[in-house]
Amino acid sequence: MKRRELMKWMALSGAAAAAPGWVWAMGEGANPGERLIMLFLRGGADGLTLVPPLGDPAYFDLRPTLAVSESDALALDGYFGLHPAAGSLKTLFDAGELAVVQAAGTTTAERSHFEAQAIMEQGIDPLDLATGDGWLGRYLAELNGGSPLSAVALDVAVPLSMAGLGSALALGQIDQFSLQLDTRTRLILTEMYGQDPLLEQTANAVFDASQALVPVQAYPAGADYPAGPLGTALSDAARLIKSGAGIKAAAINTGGWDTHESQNEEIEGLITGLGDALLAFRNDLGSEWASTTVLIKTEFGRRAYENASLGTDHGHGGVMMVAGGGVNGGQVYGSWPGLNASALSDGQDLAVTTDYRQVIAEMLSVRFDQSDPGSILGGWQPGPWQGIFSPPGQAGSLSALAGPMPSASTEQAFKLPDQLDLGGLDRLSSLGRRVERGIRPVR
Amino acid sequence: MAEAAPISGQLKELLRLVERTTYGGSRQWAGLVESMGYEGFIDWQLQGEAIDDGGLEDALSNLLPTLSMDAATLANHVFEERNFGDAQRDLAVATIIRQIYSPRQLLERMVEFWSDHFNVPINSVQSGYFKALEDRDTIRPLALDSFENLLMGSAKSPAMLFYLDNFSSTAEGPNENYAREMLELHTLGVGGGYSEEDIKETARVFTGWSIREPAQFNYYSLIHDYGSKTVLGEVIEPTGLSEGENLLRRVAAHESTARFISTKLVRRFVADDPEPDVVDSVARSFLDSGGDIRVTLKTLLMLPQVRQTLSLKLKRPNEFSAAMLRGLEIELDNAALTVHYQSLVAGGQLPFSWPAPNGYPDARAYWQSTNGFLMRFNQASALPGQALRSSALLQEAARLDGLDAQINLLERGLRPQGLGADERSLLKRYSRRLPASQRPAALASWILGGPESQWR
Repeated sequence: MKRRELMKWMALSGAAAAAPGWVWAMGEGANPGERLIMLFLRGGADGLTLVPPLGDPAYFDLRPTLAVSESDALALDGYFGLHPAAGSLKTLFDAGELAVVQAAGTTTAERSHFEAQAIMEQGIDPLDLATGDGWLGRYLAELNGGSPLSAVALDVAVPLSMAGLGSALALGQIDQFSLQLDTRTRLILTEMYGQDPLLEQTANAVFDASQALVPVQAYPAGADYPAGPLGTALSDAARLIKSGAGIKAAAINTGGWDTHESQNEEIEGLITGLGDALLAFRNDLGSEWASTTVLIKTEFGRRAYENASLGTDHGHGGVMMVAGGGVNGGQVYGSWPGLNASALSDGQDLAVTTDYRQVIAEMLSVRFDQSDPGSILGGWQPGPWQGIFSPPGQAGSLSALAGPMPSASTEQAFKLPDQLDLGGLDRLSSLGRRVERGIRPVR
Repeated sequence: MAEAAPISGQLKELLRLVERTTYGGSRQWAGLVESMGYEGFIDWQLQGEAIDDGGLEDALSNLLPTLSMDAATLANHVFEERNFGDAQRDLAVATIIRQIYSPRQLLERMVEFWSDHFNVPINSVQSGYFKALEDRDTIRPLALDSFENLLMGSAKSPAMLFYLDNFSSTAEGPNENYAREMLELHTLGVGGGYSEEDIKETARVFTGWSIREPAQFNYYSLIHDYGSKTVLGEVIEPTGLSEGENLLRRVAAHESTARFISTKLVRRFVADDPEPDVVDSVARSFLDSGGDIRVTLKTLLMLPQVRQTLSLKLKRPNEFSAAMLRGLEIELDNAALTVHYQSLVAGGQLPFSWPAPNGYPDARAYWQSTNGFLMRFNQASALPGQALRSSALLQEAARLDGLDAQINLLERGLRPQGLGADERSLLKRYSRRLPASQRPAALASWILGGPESQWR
C-alpha cells in the first residue's frame, strides 16, 4: 500500500484521528535518509577571528589589538588558522569532517542584522526578491511530508528559513515538550480547533508531536554537551536522529555573535561552545554522522578594521562552515580576496567571493539529491561545484575522535531563571483584590 | 435556561476596545467600558499615571525594595552586596504584576510597546542594573509623553548606552552599533531614507555620549569627534553635545519616523498587516502633534476602520496568560504569579529577555508555533483546576445550579463577546457527564484553551 493510499484509508476509516501521528512515518521506511542541521550564528560572527587569515599582512594592520597572532592560532593550511579556542573545530577539521568557506556571504552588502538574515533565510539576494518563505521550507516541501517530526526548529519558534512549510514544528526543548491534557480536554480541543482554519493545523501538530516525541524523550543524551541552549539543541537533534523519529531537517539558532565591544572576551566562549557542542554531536551520532550534514552560517562578517571599543562593527564577507560524514573537510574553500584597501568591499570590509547560495546549492544537489537546487534558491544559477561534499554512501568509515577538552566553564551570563524565586514575596496575597476595588474611573 | 441574547455590534466594539488596550477583559472591565463609553474609556486610560492605582505602586515598592532605590543605593545593593539577580527579578515581577493587575492598563501596554521598541535585554548583571533604572526613570514616565522625549531619554540612558556600546565610542574608532539601530529600529526604519554613510556619520555625532558611574549620562568632550559631519543631507557643525541632541530631534520629527512608529502601533493594537490608510491617518496625527503619544494613540483607537476591525491579533504568550488570570478574576498570590511566569518561560517571552535590539516579534507568524500552543493548552488545562479557590469567577460558578447557568456565567467572564453556537453545544456535550463539582474548572479550561481565546 502506498503512503498516499494509506493516508486516504485512514482518513476514510477515521483511523487518522485516533492513530498517533508517527504511524505516518511508516511509509518512509526505517531510514529516512539524509539529514540537514542548519545552525545559524545570529549577530554576524567575525570570520576574521574564527578563521584568521594569518598569511595576509593587512590583517594585522587592520586589527592591531584584535588580530589572532600566528603563535596563538591553530594552523590549518599554512595561510589560515583557527582561533585558539576552536580546539574542537580543529579536531573535526583534521578528521576531514569540517570544511570552511572563507569570504562567503550575500553578494549585496547588507549590514543590517535583520535585513541580512532575511536575505539568507529566504535564500535570495537582494532583499527586493523576498518570497516570504524560506529556502529550507521550499526544500522540505519537495519531500512531501513524512513523519510529523521531519522538520523541526529546536527553538521556541520556526525561523524564516523554514517558513512556508506548514508542517515545520517548533519544539523548544524536547524534554519540556509534554502535553498534559486529560482525554476529554484533548478531544474537545480537537473539535474546537477543527473549526478554526487558521489554527487547526498548529493544534493538530501539537497533538501529533507530543505523541511522536514520547520515544525520543526516552532516549538519553549520548555525549557530554556543553551546558547551555546550543548544547541542548544539538543533543536534542541527536536524540531525534538516533531514535529514528524520521527527522529530515532541524534548525538551530545560537546568538551572541554581535561583538561590537570587547570582542576578544566575548567571542572566546562562543567559539569554544560552538566547537565543543559540534564535536559532542558528532561523537553522539556515531554511524549516523555519515548521513548528517551540519550547515553553519551567519548573516555577515564583521568590519575588517576594529573600533575603539575593542570590537568590530557590521561588515560584509564572512565565514561559512559545513560538517558531517559526507563533507570533504580539512580544507578552506573559496578564493581569498585579500584585505588590502583596494580589495575591500566598500573600502571597509572583506569582500564576498562565494555566494552563500553556492554552498547551499552544492549541498542540496550532492547530499540531498536535488537535481535543480537553483529553483529552491529563487531561480538563481549556481556555479560549478567546488567539491565540498561527497555523495551519500561514499563516506569512509568514521574514526573515533576524542571528545572536547574539558574547559573552565565560562561565566554564565546572568539571565532571568526558569524558576521564579518568590522568596520574601509572601505578602502578595490579596493585593490584586485591593487594587481592583480601588479602581475609581475619572469621569 | 436559554442562551443569553446576542450582544449588539456597539457592545462588541466596546469589548474589542478592552481587548486591544488592556491585558484582557473581565466582568469588571466590561462594566467599566460600558459605563464610560468608547471615547470615555480611552480618555480615562490615556491619563496613565494619574489613574488611581489602588495602592499598587506603593505595595510593589514595599514588596520589591530595589524598585525605589536610587542609582547609587541600587549599585551598592547589586554589586557590593552581591545581590546579582535582585534588580532583574524585581523588575520582571513588578512588570508582570502591573500588566495583570494595574488599573493603568493602556499605560502598561505602552510600556511594553516601548520596551520592545527600545529593547534592552537583561542578560547580565550590569544590563539588569541599568535596565531597572531606565524602566523606572525613562520608559515608564515617558510612555505616554512625546516620542522625542522618549527617544532622547533612551539615547541618554545608561541601559541603551551600555547595550548598544555607545558608551565606549570615541573619535578614534567610532562604534556604529547605536547609530545603526537608532536609525533602523528606533526612528526612520528600514527604507526610511538613510545610507550606510549616514550611519557612519551618525556614529561620529554620538562619540563621547557615555556613562558616569554609577548610572548617569555624561558627555565626554575629549573623546568627541569635532569634525563636521553630514547626516541625511544636512551638514552638522561641530558643536559637541548639541549635535546629537539636534539630530535626535530631527529624526524624531522625520516623516519616515512617523510612518514607522505608526505602522508599529497599528500592528500592535489592530492587525499584523496594517492597512495603509489607517497608517496614513495615524502618521499624520503623529506629525501634526509633534509626536505626542497620547494624541497619536487616541487618533488610532478612534478611527472608524479600527473600531470596526475584528479581532485579528493572535495573543502573544504574555497576553494569553494574563488574560486567563484577569478573566478568571484570580487573586494575586504566589501560585498565580508562578503559573504566569511558567507560561512566559514555556512560551519564550520572559520580560526584557529578547536577545536582539529589535524586541519581541509582533506577528502571528512567529508566535503561532507548536511550542507556543503546547504551552497554551497545558496552562489553560491546568490553571482553572489549580485556581478553584482563588478565582472569584469559578467560585461563583460553583454555587450555581445547572449547566446552562454555569456556561452563561463563564461566558460573561471569559468570553463576553459571546460563545459561538457550535462552541456552546460542544461545551454542553463534553461536560454533561462530568460531576457537577468538576464542571466549572473544566468548562473554563475549554473556553480558555479554545481557538477563540487565542485572538484579541
